[in-house]
Amino acid sequence: MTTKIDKLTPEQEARFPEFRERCISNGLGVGRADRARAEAGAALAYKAAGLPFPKQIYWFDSPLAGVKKAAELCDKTASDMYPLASRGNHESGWVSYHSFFLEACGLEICEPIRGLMNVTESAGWWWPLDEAVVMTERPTVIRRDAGHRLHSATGPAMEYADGFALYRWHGLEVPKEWILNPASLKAETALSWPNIEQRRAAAEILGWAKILDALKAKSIDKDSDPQIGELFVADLPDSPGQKFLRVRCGTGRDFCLPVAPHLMTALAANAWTFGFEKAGEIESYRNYEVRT
Amino acid sequence: MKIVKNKSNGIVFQGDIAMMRVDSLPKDAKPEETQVVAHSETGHHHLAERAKVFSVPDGEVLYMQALGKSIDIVHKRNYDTHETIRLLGEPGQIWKIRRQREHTPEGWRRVED
Repeated sequence: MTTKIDKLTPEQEARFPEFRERCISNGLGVGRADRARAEAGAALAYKAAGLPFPKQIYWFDSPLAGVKKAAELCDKTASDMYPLASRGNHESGWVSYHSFFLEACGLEICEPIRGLMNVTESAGWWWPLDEAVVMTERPTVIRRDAGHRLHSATGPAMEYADGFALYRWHGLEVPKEWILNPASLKAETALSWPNIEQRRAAAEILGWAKILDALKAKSIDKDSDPQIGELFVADLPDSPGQKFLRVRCGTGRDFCLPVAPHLMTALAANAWTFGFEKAGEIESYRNYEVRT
Repeated sequence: MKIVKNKSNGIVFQGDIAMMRVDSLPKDAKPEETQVVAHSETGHHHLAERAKVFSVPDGEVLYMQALGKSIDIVHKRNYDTHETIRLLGEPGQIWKIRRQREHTPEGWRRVED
Protein backbone atom coordinates (compact mmCIF):
# COMPACT_ATOMS: atom_id res chain seq x y z
CA MET A 1 0.00 0.00 0.00
CA THR A 2 1.24 3.49 -0.86
CA THR A 3 1.16 6.31 1.64
CA LYS A 4 1.01 9.81 0.26
CA ILE A 5 1.73 12.81 2.46
CA ASP A 6 1.14 16.44 1.46
CA LYS A 7 2.75 18.12 4.43
CA LEU A 8 4.74 17.37 7.53
CA THR A 9 3.25 17.41 11.00
CA PRO A 10 4.80 19.80 13.56
CA GLU A 11 6.26 16.73 15.33
CA GLN A 12 7.92 15.55 12.11
CA GLU A 13 9.33 19.02 11.39
CA ALA A 14 10.66 19.21 14.92
CA ARG A 15 12.92 16.25 14.09
CA PHE A 16 14.83 18.14 11.36
CA PRO A 17 17.72 19.09 13.71
CA GLU A 18 18.08 15.49 14.88
CA PHE A 19 18.43 14.20 11.30
CA ARG A 20 20.66 17.11 10.29
CA GLU A 21 23.07 16.49 13.18
CA ARG A 22 23.06 12.77 12.56
CA CYS A 23 23.79 13.25 8.85
CA ILE A 24 26.59 15.78 9.39
CA SER A 25 28.33 13.87 12.17
CA ASN A 26 28.01 10.72 10.12
CA GLY A 27 29.49 12.36 7.02
CA LEU A 28 32.38 13.68 9.07
CA GLY A 29 32.76 10.37 10.89
CA VAL A 30 36.23 9.00 11.52
CA GLY A 31 37.51 5.79 13.07
CA ARG A 32 37.12 2.11 12.39
CA ALA A 33 34.06 0.86 10.54
CA ASP A 34 31.39 -1.24 12.17
CA ARG A 35 32.11 -4.00 9.70
CA ALA A 36 29.32 -6.36 10.76
CA ARG A 37 26.69 -3.64 10.35
CA ALA A 38 28.18 -2.45 7.06
CA GLU A 39 28.18 -5.97 5.59
CA ALA A 40 24.63 -6.59 6.75
CA GLY A 41 23.62 -3.25 5.18
CA ALA A 42 25.33 -4.19 1.92
CA ALA A 43 23.51 -7.55 1.90
CA LEU A 44 20.19 -5.73 2.41
CA ALA A 45 21.00 -3.35 -0.47
CA TYR A 46 21.67 -6.29 -2.82
CA LYS A 47 18.41 -7.87 -1.68
CA ALA A 48 16.49 -4.64 -2.37
CA ALA A 49 18.01 -4.62 -5.86
CA GLY A 50 17.02 -8.26 -6.39
CA LEU A 51 20.64 -9.40 -6.75
CA PRO A 52 22.46 -12.32 -5.10
CA PHE A 53 24.89 -11.17 -2.41
CA PRO A 54 28.48 -12.16 -3.31
CA LYS A 55 30.32 -14.52 -1.00
CA GLN A 56 33.57 -12.60 -1.20
CA ILE A 57 33.88 -9.35 0.80
CA TYR A 58 37.14 -7.38 0.78
CA TRP A 59 38.03 -4.66 3.28
CA PHE A 60 40.61 -1.92 2.71
CA ASP A 61 41.82 1.02 4.73
CA SER A 62 41.16 3.76 2.16
CA PRO A 63 39.03 4.52 -0.90
CA LEU A 64 42.24 4.58 -2.96
CA ALA A 65 43.04 0.99 -2.02
CA GLY A 66 39.38 0.10 -2.57
CA VAL A 67 39.17 1.58 -6.06
CA LYS A 68 42.36 -0.25 -7.07
CA LYS A 69 40.94 -3.58 -5.92
CA ALA A 70 37.61 -2.90 -7.64
CA ALA A 71 39.48 -2.07 -10.86
CA GLU A 72 41.53 -5.28 -10.61
CA LEU A 73 38.41 -7.40 -10.04
CA CYS A 74 36.56 -5.84 -13.00
CA ASP A 75 39.59 -5.61 -15.29
CA LYS A 76 39.09 -1.84 -15.57
CA THR A 77 41.08 1.22 -14.56
CA ALA A 78 40.73 3.01 -11.23
CA SER A 79 39.39 6.01 -13.17
CA ASP A 80 36.64 3.76 -14.59
CA MET A 81 35.70 2.52 -11.13
CA TYR A 82 35.89 5.84 -9.27
CA PRO A 83 32.47 7.12 -10.46
CA LEU A 84 30.92 3.73 -9.70
CA ALA A 85 31.70 4.01 -6.00
CA SER A 86 28.98 4.10 -3.43
CA ARG A 87 30.42 6.66 -1.06
CA GLY A 88 29.46 5.25 2.31
CA ASN A 89 29.47 7.88 5.02
CA HIS A 90 30.39 10.53 2.44
CA GLU A 91 26.99 10.16 0.82
CA SER A 92 25.08 10.75 4.04
CA GLY A 93 23.76 13.99 2.50
CA TRP A 94 21.35 12.59 -0.05
CA VAL A 95 20.64 9.43 1.92
CA SER A 96 19.44 11.61 4.82
CA TYR A 97 16.36 12.70 2.84
CA HIS A 98 15.29 9.10 2.55
CA SER A 99 16.12 8.22 6.13
CA PHE A 100 13.99 11.16 7.31
CA PHE A 101 10.98 10.07 5.28
CA LEU A 102 11.50 6.45 6.25
CA GLU A 103 12.06 6.91 9.97
CA ALA A 104 10.27 10.15 10.84
CA CYS A 105 7.35 9.83 8.41
CA GLY A 106 7.08 6.05 8.01
CA LEU A 107 7.06 6.18 4.19
CA GLU A 108 7.51 2.57 3.16
CA ILE A 109 8.52 3.60 -0.37
CA CYS A 110 11.90 4.52 1.16
CA GLU A 111 12.37 1.05 2.66
CA PRO A 112 14.68 -0.24 -0.16
CA ILE A 113 17.21 2.43 0.82
CA ARG A 114 17.64 1.01 4.34
CA GLY A 115 20.60 -1.20 3.45
CA LEU A 116 22.45 1.70 1.87
CA MET A 117 21.57 3.84 4.89
CA ASN A 118 23.12 1.29 7.21
CA VAL A 119 26.35 1.30 5.20
CA THR A 120 26.53 5.12 5.24
CA GLU A 121 26.32 4.92 9.04
CA SER A 122 29.00 2.30 9.48
CA ALA A 123 31.70 2.45 6.75
CA GLY A 124 33.41 4.47 4.05
CA TRP A 125 33.34 4.13 0.26
CA TRP A 126 32.36 0.75 -1.20
CA TRP A 127 31.96 -0.96 -4.53
CA PRO A 128 29.05 -3.40 -4.92
CA LEU A 129 30.19 -5.72 -7.73
CA ASP A 130 28.73 -8.89 -9.24
CA GLU A 131 31.22 -11.34 -7.78
CA ALA A 132 32.50 -9.45 -4.74
CA VAL A 133 31.93 -6.48 -2.47
CA VAL A 134 34.82 -4.09 -1.88
CA MET A 135 34.34 -2.12 1.33
CA THR A 136 36.60 0.48 2.93
CA GLU A 137 37.26 2.16 6.23
CA ARG A 138 36.45 5.76 7.09
CA PRO A 139 39.23 8.36 7.42
CA THR A 140 41.23 8.41 10.62
CA VAL A 141 41.40 12.22 10.74
CA ILE A 142 39.49 15.11 9.14
CA ARG A 143 40.64 18.69 9.61
CA ARG A 144 38.63 21.74 8.54
CA ASP A 145 38.70 25.52 8.70
CA ALA A 146 36.19 27.82 10.40
CA GLY A 147 34.10 27.75 7.20
CA HIS A 148 33.93 23.90 7.46
CA ARG A 149 36.08 23.36 4.36
CA LEU A 150 38.80 20.72 4.37
CA HIS A 151 41.91 22.55 5.47
CA SER A 152 45.18 22.12 7.30
CA ALA A 153 48.21 24.37 7.15
CA THR A 154 50.43 21.77 8.80
CA GLY A 155 49.44 18.32 7.53
CA PRO A 156 46.84 16.32 5.63
CA ALA A 157 43.27 17.63 5.77
CA MET A 158 42.07 14.04 5.54
CA GLU A 159 44.01 10.88 6.38
CA TYR A 160 43.38 7.18 6.13
CA ALA A 161 44.92 4.32 8.10
CA ASP A 162 47.03 3.13 5.14
CA GLY A 163 48.65 6.55 4.67
CA PHE A 164 46.43 7.81 1.83
CA ALA A 165 45.99 11.51 2.52
CA LEU A 166 44.46 14.65 1.01
CA TYR A 167 46.08 18.06 1.26
CA ARG A 168 43.73 21.01 1.11
CA TRP A 169 44.07 24.76 1.60
CA HIS A 170 40.63 26.10 2.55
CA GLY A 171 38.97 23.43 0.47
CA LEU A 172 41.34 23.69 -2.49
CA GLU A 173 43.60 20.81 -3.52
CA VAL A 174 47.25 21.87 -3.30
CA PRO A 175 50.55 19.98 -3.78
CA LYS A 176 51.41 18.29 -0.51
CA GLU A 177 54.91 19.82 -0.45
CA TRP A 178 53.35 23.27 -0.03
CA ILE A 179 51.78 22.11 3.24
CA LEU A 180 54.44 19.74 4.56
CA ASN A 181 57.43 21.84 3.59
CA PRO A 182 56.32 25.44 3.01
CA ALA A 183 59.98 26.46 2.76
CA SER A 184 60.09 24.61 -0.58
CA LEU A 185 57.44 26.98 -1.96
CA LYS A 186 59.23 29.80 -3.74
CA ALA A 187 57.88 33.28 -4.36
CA GLU A 188 58.29 32.87 -8.13
CA THR A 189 56.25 29.64 -8.01
CA ALA A 190 53.52 31.43 -6.10
CA LEU A 191 53.28 34.02 -8.87
CA SER A 192 53.57 31.74 -11.88
CA TRP A 193 51.78 28.49 -10.96
CA PRO A 194 49.46 27.60 -13.91
CA ASN A 195 46.19 27.25 -11.99
CA ILE A 196 45.10 30.64 -10.66
CA GLU A 197 43.25 29.26 -7.63
CA GLN A 198 46.29 27.26 -6.56
CA ARG A 199 48.45 30.31 -7.28
CA ARG A 200 46.26 32.31 -4.90
CA ALA A 201 46.57 29.56 -2.26
CA ALA A 202 50.36 29.58 -2.69
CA ALA A 203 50.39 33.36 -2.22
CA GLU A 204 48.29 32.98 0.93
CA ILE A 205 50.55 30.25 2.29
CA LEU A 206 53.66 32.36 1.70
CA GLY A 207 52.11 35.75 2.45
CA TRP A 208 52.03 38.64 0.01
CA ALA A 209 54.54 40.78 1.88
CA LYS A 210 57.07 37.96 1.81
CA ILE A 211 56.55 37.31 -1.91
CA LEU A 212 56.93 40.94 -2.94
CA ASP A 213 59.93 41.28 -0.69
CA ALA A 214 61.60 38.08 -1.91
CA LEU A 215 61.22 39.16 -5.54
CA LYS A 216 62.12 42.79 -4.77
CA ALA A 217 58.90 43.71 -6.55
CA LYS A 218 58.27 47.40 -7.17
CA SER A 219 54.82 48.94 -7.20
CA ILE A 220 54.26 50.88 -10.43
CA ASP A 221 50.66 52.02 -9.93
CA LYS A 222 48.04 51.42 -7.29
CA ASP A 223 44.41 52.12 -8.15
CA SER A 224 42.04 53.45 -5.47
CA ASP A 225 39.66 50.59 -6.36
CA PRO A 226 41.04 47.27 -5.03
CA GLN A 227 39.02 45.45 -7.71
CA ILE A 228 41.13 47.32 -10.28
CA GLY A 229 44.25 46.50 -8.26
CA GLU A 230 47.94 47.31 -8.01
CA LEU A 231 50.54 46.85 -10.75
CA PHE A 232 53.99 45.49 -9.82
CA VAL A 233 57.17 44.71 -11.69
CA ALA A 234 59.63 42.01 -10.57
CA ASP A 235 62.57 40.10 -12.02
CA LEU A 236 61.80 36.40 -12.21
CA PRO A 237 64.60 33.96 -13.10
CA ASP A 238 63.22 33.23 -16.58
CA SER A 239 61.19 36.40 -16.99
CA PRO A 240 63.01 39.62 -16.12
CA GLY A 241 60.83 42.75 -15.82
CA GLN A 242 57.66 40.66 -15.47
CA LYS A 243 54.61 42.75 -14.61
CA PHE A 244 51.89 41.53 -12.26
CA LEU A 245 48.47 42.79 -11.37
CA ARG A 246 47.43 42.04 -7.82
CA VAL A 247 43.68 42.32 -7.77
CA ARG A 248 40.75 41.61 -5.47
CA CYS A 249 37.94 39.54 -6.97
CA GLY A 250 34.21 39.80 -6.27
CA THR A 251 34.50 37.19 -3.52
CA GLY A 252 36.99 39.35 -1.59
CA ARG A 253 40.08 37.25 -2.30
CA ASP A 254 43.33 38.60 -3.74
CA PHE A 255 44.66 37.11 -6.97
CA CYS A 256 47.75 37.76 -9.01
CA LEU A 257 47.86 37.86 -12.80
CA PRO A 258 50.99 38.22 -14.95
CA VAL A 259 50.26 40.97 -17.50
CA ALA A 260 51.88 42.30 -20.68
CA PRO A 261 55.10 44.31 -20.22
CA HIS A 262 53.86 47.48 -21.98
CA LEU A 263 51.17 48.19 -19.38
CA MET A 264 51.81 51.18 -17.12
CA THR A 265 48.68 51.52 -14.95
CA ALA A 266 46.64 49.09 -12.90
CA LEU A 267 43.51 50.16 -14.81
CA ALA A 268 45.07 49.48 -18.21
CA ALA A 269 46.43 46.15 -16.92
CA ASN A 270 43.05 45.08 -15.55
CA ALA A 271 41.32 46.08 -18.81
CA TRP A 272 44.01 44.19 -20.77
CA THR A 273 43.20 40.95 -18.91
CA PHE A 274 39.74 41.11 -20.50
CA GLY A 275 41.02 42.17 -23.92
CA PHE A 276 40.16 45.88 -23.69
CA GLU A 277 43.16 47.67 -25.11
CA LYS A 278 41.98 50.76 -27.03
CA ALA A 279 42.23 54.14 -25.26
CA GLY A 280 38.47 54.78 -25.23
CA GLU A 281 37.76 51.28 -23.95
CA ILE A 282 40.13 51.64 -21.03
CA GLU A 283 38.54 54.86 -19.77
CA SER A 284 35.00 53.47 -19.92
CA TYR A 285 36.27 50.26 -18.33
CA ARG A 286 36.32 51.88 -14.91
CA ASN A 287 32.55 52.49 -15.05
CA TYR A 288 31.60 48.87 -14.80
CA GLU A 289 28.05 47.90 -13.90
CA VAL A 290 28.59 45.12 -11.43
CA ARG A 291 31.44 42.88 -10.30
CA THR A 292 30.74 39.74 -8.27
CA MET B 1 21.59 38.42 -6.29
CA LYS B 2 22.76 41.51 -8.16
CA ILE B 3 20.37 43.01 -10.70
CA VAL B 4 21.60 44.71 -13.88
CA LYS B 5 18.91 47.03 -15.26
CA ASN B 6 17.58 46.91 -18.79
CA LYS B 7 19.58 49.13 -21.19
CA SER B 8 22.54 49.49 -18.79
CA ASN B 9 25.73 50.08 -20.75
CA GLY B 10 28.56 49.25 -18.31
CA ILE B 11 30.50 45.99 -18.36
CA VAL B 12 29.24 43.23 -16.06
CA PHE B 13 31.84 41.00 -14.38
CA GLN B 14 31.49 37.69 -12.62
CA GLY B 15 34.87 36.31 -11.59
CA ASP B 16 36.89 35.72 -14.74
CA ILE B 17 34.14 36.58 -17.25
CA ALA B 18 33.06 39.98 -18.60
CA MET B 19 29.73 40.54 -20.31
CA MET B 20 28.47 43.45 -22.40
CA ARG B 21 25.38 44.13 -24.48
CA VAL B 22 25.84 44.11 -28.24
CA ASP B 23 23.39 44.84 -31.05
CA SER B 24 23.68 41.65 -33.04
CA LEU B 25 25.19 38.19 -33.33
CA PRO B 26 28.12 37.78 -35.72
CA LYS B 27 27.11 36.01 -38.93
CA ASP B 28 29.34 33.03 -38.19
CA ALA B 29 27.96 32.45 -34.64
CA LYS B 30 27.04 28.83 -34.04
CA PRO B 31 24.48 27.72 -31.40
CA GLU B 32 25.89 25.50 -28.65
CA GLU B 33 24.12 22.81 -26.65
CA THR B 34 25.36 24.11 -23.32
CA GLN B 35 24.59 26.61 -20.60
CA VAL B 36 28.26 26.88 -19.63
CA VAL B 37 29.68 30.30 -20.46
CA ALA B 38 32.95 29.72 -18.60
CA HIS B 39 34.30 26.22 -18.15
CA SER B 40 36.32 25.61 -14.99
CA GLU B 41 38.93 22.86 -14.71
CA THR B 42 37.83 22.28 -11.14
CA GLY B 43 34.16 22.01 -12.12
CA HIS B 44 33.15 25.47 -10.89
CA HIS B 45 31.50 26.58 -14.12
CA HIS B 46 29.66 29.81 -14.75
CA LEU B 47 26.24 29.07 -16.27
CA ALA B 48 23.77 31.23 -18.19
CA GLU B 49 20.19 30.37 -17.29
CA ARG B 50 17.39 31.22 -19.76
CA ALA B 51 19.84 31.96 -22.55
CA LYS B 52 21.05 30.39 -25.79
CA VAL B 53 24.85 30.25 -25.97
CA PHE B 54 26.74 30.79 -29.25
CA SER B 55 30.37 30.24 -30.18
CA VAL B 56 32.37 31.91 -32.95
CA PRO B 57 35.24 30.37 -34.94
CA ASP B 58 38.05 32.34 -33.30
CA GLY B 59 37.08 30.77 -29.97
CA GLU B 60 38.10 33.75 -27.87
CA VAL B 61 34.65 35.09 -27.13
CA LEU B 62 31.15 33.67 -26.71
CA TYR B 63 27.75 35.21 -27.24
CA MET B 64 24.42 34.55 -25.55
CA GLN B 65 20.89 35.51 -26.42
CA ALA B 66 18.15 36.05 -23.82
CA LEU B 67 15.22 33.64 -24.18
CA GLY B 68 13.04 35.88 -22.00
CA LYS B 69 13.32 39.17 -20.15
CA SER B 70 16.30 38.14 -18.03
CA ILE B 71 19.34 35.89 -17.91
CA ASP B 72 20.79 34.64 -14.63
CA ILE B 73 24.54 34.14 -14.52
CA VAL B 74 25.23 31.53 -11.86
CA HIS B 75 28.57 30.39 -10.46
CA LYS B 76 28.50 26.71 -9.53
CA ARG B 77 30.57 26.58 -6.38
CA ASN B 78 29.35 26.21 -2.84
CA TYR B 79 32.15 28.25 -1.25
CA ASP B 80 33.75 31.54 -2.32
CA THR B 81 30.83 31.79 -4.71
CA HIS B 82 30.56 34.70 -7.12
CA GLU B 83 27.13 36.19 -6.48
CA THR B 84 24.44 35.44 -9.08
CA ILE B 85 23.79 38.29 -11.53
CA ARG B 86 20.40 38.84 -13.17
CA LEU B 87 20.74 40.63 -16.49
CA LEU B 88 17.48 42.38 -17.40
CA GLY B 89 16.60 43.21 -20.99
CA GLU B 90 14.25 42.55 -23.86
CA PRO B 91 13.79 38.97 -25.09
CA GLY B 92 16.41 38.36 -27.76
CA GLN B 93 19.00 40.71 -26.21
CA ILE B 94 22.51 39.66 -27.28
CA TRP B 95 25.45 39.69 -24.89
CA LYS B 96 29.12 39.23 -25.70
CA ILE B 97 31.18 37.27 -23.18
CA ARG B 98 34.92 37.58 -22.71
CA ARG B 99 37.16 35.43 -20.51
CA GLN B 100 40.05 36.80 -18.49
CA ARG B 101 43.58 36.21 -19.79
CA GLU B 102 47.11 36.56 -18.50
CA HIS B 103 50.57 37.07 -19.95
CA THR B 104 53.15 34.34 -20.46
CA PRO B 105 56.57 34.57 -22.08
CA GLU B 106 55.02 32.81 -25.12
CA GLY B 107 52.08 35.23 -25.41
CA TRP B 108 48.84 35.21 -23.48
CA ARG B 109 46.69 32.40 -22.22
CA ARG B 110 43.27 32.11 -20.73
CA VAL B 111 43.15 32.19 -16.91
CA GLU B 112 42.61 28.66 -15.51
CA ASP B 113 40.64 28.08 -12.37
